[in-house]
Amino acid sequence: MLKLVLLTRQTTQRFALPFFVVAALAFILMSRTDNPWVTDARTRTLDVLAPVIDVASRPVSAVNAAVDSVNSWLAVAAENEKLRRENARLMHWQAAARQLLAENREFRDLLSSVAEPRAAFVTARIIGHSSGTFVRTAVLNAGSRDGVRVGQAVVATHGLVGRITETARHSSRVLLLTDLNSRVPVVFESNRKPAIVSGDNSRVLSLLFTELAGTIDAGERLVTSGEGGMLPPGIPVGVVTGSQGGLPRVTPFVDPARIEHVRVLDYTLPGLMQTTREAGMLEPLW
Amino acid sequence: MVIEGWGASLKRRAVSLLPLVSGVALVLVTATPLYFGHVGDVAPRLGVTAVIFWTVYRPDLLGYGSAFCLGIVADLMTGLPLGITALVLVLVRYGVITRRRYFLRKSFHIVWAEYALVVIAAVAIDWMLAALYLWSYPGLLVHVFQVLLTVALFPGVYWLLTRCQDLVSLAGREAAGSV
Repeated sequence: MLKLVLLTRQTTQRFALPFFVVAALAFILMSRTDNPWVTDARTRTLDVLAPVIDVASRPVSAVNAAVDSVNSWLAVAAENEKLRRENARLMHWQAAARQLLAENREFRDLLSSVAEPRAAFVTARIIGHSSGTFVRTAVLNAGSRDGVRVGQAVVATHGLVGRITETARHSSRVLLLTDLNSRVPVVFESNRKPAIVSGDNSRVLSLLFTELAGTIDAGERLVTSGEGGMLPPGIPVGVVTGSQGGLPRVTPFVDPARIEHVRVLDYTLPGLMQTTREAGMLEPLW
Repeated sequence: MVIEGWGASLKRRAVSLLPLVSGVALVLVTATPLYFGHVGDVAPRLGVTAVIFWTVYRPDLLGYGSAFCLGIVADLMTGLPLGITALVLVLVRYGVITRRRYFLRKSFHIVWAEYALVVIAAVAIDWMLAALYLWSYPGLLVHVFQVLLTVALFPGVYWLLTRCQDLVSLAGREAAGSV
């Protein structure tokens, strides 16, 4: 009996390494072929572990808030002066914006232009990050129960963060702009020429399919074009900061590693499909 | 002779799961956002640290199966292609178990240096897998920072894991005393 147990143990030990290496390679192959079983397993795990990650991220969030609070106290005088100057500048812009708004309304009425649908949103906290060579994603503490759906845009105060790729019941995963698989249709803010911004798992983005290649100046701002109907037009994406190998490089306006809260936009062109807002799940944004 | 009660048996079994649980906890820490800009871009490979530590000091409690499961959990949690971390951790366990004598009964600094070599090897495997999976040349800088961060955090993580190991040893001694 003892001999049999020893023999079984020896055999298991001998074959454990090749068995698990082959199993891991099989899993990698399944991931590469986008097997639905892998996606399902991922969302289920996310649902189970999201509350744990949420709790684990709270102390970091608290420390961060305390550091921010101390910093803001230390810089209160300089900040005050900066805000005064900014306020004076914004007052000027407000006057210009009011005038343009009135003009725009008048032109729209004259042209019987169709109004853009307004997006509703849910606010969520980033509770997990995944950075490295393979993927650039973030985990949010809002899921399908809160009206979050695959494809929705995720924005922060300064612009686009990414879009939802997986939704569990209580959590969801965002594919960041910088991820290798991210492609977003954009237009240049100055001349409305279209292009595509693409991530490559680095901190900056590449600009593809633009007829302006070679003539783009650093400092050009890019906003979403709204093409495809999934993202609202006009969300700031990034600014051209240089070029590499002939391709313009774009620095995103939002650094996801520095933000804690984001908004998931529920934006769908009317008539294309029922939105979660139409289903009565979200409050309107404005 | 005193027969081990079901309570003691349960406790011993629960404590024997500590290597895997500590590994999952470290992977969870890795996935936690830091909100510190550039630092948040590079996550340390603390799952690798857990596998190295337990393979050196208690290989009986963290076999290939546990290393594989830890990798799968890490992949599911971080959104990486399923199997990548699992393959890296299984290979790390193999590499460490064959070089175990270089770690045992050595000063902390030697262990730290040996550990750094294994981390470099693990991250190099990860880099090669990324190149094959994505069929492109992944940047090296992220990996270099990942190695530096993982190696720099070793003393703190080593201390925590040593406390876990003390608990495991205590439970083992208690069980041996009761039989």
